[in-house]
Amino acid sequence: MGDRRGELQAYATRLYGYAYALTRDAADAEDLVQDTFVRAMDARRVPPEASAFRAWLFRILRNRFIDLQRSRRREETPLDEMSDADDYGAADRPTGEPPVITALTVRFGLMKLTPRQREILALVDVAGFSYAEAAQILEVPPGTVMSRLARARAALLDAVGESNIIPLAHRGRRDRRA
Amino acid sequence: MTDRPSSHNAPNDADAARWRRLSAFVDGELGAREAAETAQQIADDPNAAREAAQLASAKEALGQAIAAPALSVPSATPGLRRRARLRRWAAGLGALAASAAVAVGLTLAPPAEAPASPDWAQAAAAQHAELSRLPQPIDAAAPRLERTTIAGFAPFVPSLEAARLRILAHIGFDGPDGAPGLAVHYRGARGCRVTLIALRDGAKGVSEALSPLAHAQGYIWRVGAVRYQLLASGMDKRRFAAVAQAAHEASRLHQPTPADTRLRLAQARAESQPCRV
Repeated sequence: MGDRRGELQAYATRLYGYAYALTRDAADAEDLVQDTFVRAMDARRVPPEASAFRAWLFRILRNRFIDLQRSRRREETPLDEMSDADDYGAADRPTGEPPVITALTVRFGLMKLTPRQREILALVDVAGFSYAEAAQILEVPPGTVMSRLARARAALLDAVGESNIIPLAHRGRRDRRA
Repeated sequence: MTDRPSSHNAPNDADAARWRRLSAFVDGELGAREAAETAQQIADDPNAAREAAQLASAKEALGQAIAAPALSVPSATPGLRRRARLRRWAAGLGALAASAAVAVGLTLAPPAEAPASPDWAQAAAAQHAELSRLPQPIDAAAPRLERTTIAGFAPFVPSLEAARLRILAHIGFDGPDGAPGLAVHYRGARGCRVTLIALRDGAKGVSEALSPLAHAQGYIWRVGAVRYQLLASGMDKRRFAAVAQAAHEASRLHQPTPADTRLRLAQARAESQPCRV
């Protein structure tokens, strides 16, 4: 069991990044990760192979998030009730000016996306999964991951461009231009 | 404005496909041939080069955008404890059978505290039940109440933020024999409901030490003439015990939660399951 603890601990940061992108709330994300740990520790059987274990772990978190969404019924369409068509309203590629891209601006941009867009970005860019691994977690073909990701990135760049957050390092430049 | 065609205004499948390929290129997910073609395209076309740079910047920035707090995997979970208990029981089945008669005798013996619920306990339970019905979610700007006055009664109200329980509401009420009372309701992000009841009724016969209640999931203690009760619904026993200790300590010392208590609370929370509500 000590081994399982260690294996889980190794995923703490990536799980949190995924949870935060889904929930957009630090406390909820922490709760989600702790719930995931408790469930994973309590599970009688776990996948022995590393990639299957990882996919299983992230699916636990995903399912807990879906449960949470259902129980709260907030303004967003729950993740499991969205189809890819829900993301098609967004551009297939960014449409505005090249935005100022920093950790701060993309974090705010991320918060404006749909749950499905946040999820795919979190899996690939935050948690560092390959397309094949993300596809395994989401139970979709890798081609779907590729197209969802491209649309999510276009939406993210648009959201960052529309944001009125200008990092201080860039503010002077923009003010002089105005 | 950029000179790139907008897919809003002029849907262009070729552009969308090119964007998808650039996105996959940045992730290193293209096959060798496609990757070489895309690299050539980036070298030849300044627009493609700029878009690839944006994608790479966004990917890198996202990787740094979310800082994780220190999270630890619980060493003991309810399920693990249950299984360990079962193993111990199975191993000691023989010994258990021998002592069964004694155990039955103990089980049937009346509890040390009288099971009948006294007036002050009923009043507290009623407040807890009413406040527990308040809807979620918690307003992030919920008041951090430390002292409040209800008809001249101003008991110390501990902050349980260290236990990740926020004050949702408080209500003054008349206790048995008109004793002034204050009920403060705390709510956790995982749905935990905890109510602190302070009743200035003299608290006769109540110890200053923290004691579990016989008739509810709760604890009781006395500070001067004030009877404090802390009630919870469906909270993990160990976590609730840690929360009660923190509330007891704070109500006696009137001080912010010390570091070791904070650690104990965080650990108890990490090892607990969400409240059953």
